[in-house]
Amino acid sequence: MKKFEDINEFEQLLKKQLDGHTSSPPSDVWTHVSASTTQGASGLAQIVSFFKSATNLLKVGLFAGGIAAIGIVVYNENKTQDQVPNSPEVLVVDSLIAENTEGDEETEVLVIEKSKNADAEAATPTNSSVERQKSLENNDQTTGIKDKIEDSPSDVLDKSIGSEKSKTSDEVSNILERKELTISVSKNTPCKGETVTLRSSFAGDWYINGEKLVSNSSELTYLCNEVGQVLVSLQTGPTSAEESIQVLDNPFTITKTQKSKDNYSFQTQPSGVLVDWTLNGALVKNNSSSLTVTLDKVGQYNLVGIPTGLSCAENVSVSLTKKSTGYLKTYNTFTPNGDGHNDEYPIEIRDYDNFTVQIFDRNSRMIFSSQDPDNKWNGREFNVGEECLPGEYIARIKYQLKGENSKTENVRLTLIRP
Amino acid sequence: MSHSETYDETSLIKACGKGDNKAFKKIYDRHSATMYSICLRYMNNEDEAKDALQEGFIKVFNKIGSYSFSGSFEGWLKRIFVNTSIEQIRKRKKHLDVSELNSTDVKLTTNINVGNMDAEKMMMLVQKLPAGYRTVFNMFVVDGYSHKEISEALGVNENTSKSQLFKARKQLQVWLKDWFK
Repeated sequence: MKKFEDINEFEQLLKKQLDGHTSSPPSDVWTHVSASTTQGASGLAQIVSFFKSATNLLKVGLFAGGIAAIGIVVYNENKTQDQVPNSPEVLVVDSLIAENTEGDEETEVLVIEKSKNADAEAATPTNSSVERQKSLENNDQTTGIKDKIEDSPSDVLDKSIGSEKSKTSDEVSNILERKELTISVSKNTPCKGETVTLRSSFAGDWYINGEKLVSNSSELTYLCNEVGQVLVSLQTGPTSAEESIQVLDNPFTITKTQKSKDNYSFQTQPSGVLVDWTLNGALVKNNSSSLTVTLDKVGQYNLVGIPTGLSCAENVSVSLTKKSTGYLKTYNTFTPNGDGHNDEYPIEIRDYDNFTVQIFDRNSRMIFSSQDPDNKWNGREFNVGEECLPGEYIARIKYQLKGENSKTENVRLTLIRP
Repeated sequence: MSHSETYDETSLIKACGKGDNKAFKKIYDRHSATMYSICLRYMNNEDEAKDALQEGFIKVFNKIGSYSFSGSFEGWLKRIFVNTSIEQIRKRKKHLDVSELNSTDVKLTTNINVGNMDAEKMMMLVQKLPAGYRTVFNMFVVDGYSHKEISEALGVNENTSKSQLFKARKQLQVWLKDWFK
């Protein structure tokens, strides 16, 4: 195998290889060139103007996606021949191309021969490399390279061409594969604290934000501990690939405003964060940044904002306990004797929605009823009939305090007539 | 090796100088692949190379009448395409995008196994160079321009041209070393 220690030598080979190297151009180039030059034959002014528009035309064409395949550069030695049209008028050209192709093959043979010689050279150690290095540093002038074709027996040539060609095509496919160095990311927009896995088609050195983390690996796991963009680049040989991941963190809160006694407004902060609102597990509003609800029932409320637009935000819940302001107070005795003290059976109730009281005697006969707490029992049947006998009575009170469910209370009371 | 001085090409060139499009097509067919390769080496991508190739051939058609038959025709063509490429790069204002690469101290020697180094691989390496380095490297090493000519063509001074070349070489060596590791 050929080794060389001096970039000058590499450059000579490079020049030889690239000088006369061909890449077949996209087929539409000729179309545009020919359109320009056909016009141009009639005058220079037209040439200039059309040449400009042709460039534009090309750009438009590219933009429209009309050109599907601008081939990657694939080295094909026979390409030149393929391109020659089959019309008889270019027979002359045909033969010229054939000559040219032969010329190319000679060049290749030359390289091989040189390689062999260099192999032999490399087997014996030389001290010339240091001098070459110095000469390169001090002298940028590259001398022209003269091809010196050495004659070789043709059978040897054929063999070496054969083996070298197969190697070359392997190498080309290898290059093309290498060219497609790709990085796959398990998640492009991970959340803070999440771990992402990056995989590549080839092992290489991994850099995160320019800092080398891992060498010669085809996989990297990265803990996203900082919010923001993370630039990942992978270097493998002369090829590199880049990928960026955006580490997200979307904290938000919900603020509560009490607009009136039972009316509450909730708003996400920062404003504009859209959430689905659920109240005690039931969806009440979706995809909104605010919610206004009437919470008139006493009890525990659990409001949850489920973010709809932010991948890294967690649900935020707000708890709210609604306590009752109303109450019912009952008594066990009263003395309807006209002394102005405890003459009526007292029931105290505040902040209620519904109220009913019914009084029953021992025989379960109703002797009073009222829906107004201020209309109290005075000890007579329905407050207007005969005086009831002293003794035990039952007051059945059905009531509903504000924000609470309806309740019924049976109070045993004693009517006392001293 | 070269067929540029043959009678047939001479007559093609002469016909072309008189506006013969068929002759021009033959010249195009014969040289476009080589010229495209040059454009690819100078430009950033296939699209740009294609633009340069197209512009270059239009120039060739317009100027072919002034070709004096004194040097090789292919050499004359190459100059046109190198110049067109440079013009395009300048238009795109990228050639002076002289990015400093990570210049880790690399010795200017390396053992490289080039047994299988073919033109495609070399093309790839050259194309990978940053635009500033690449232009100078291409002109000096591959196309044989002198630093004086480069400085004139690019509108930079000769020292810039030299330093760009030095950096390009350094970068190439790093890559080569990595490649054959």
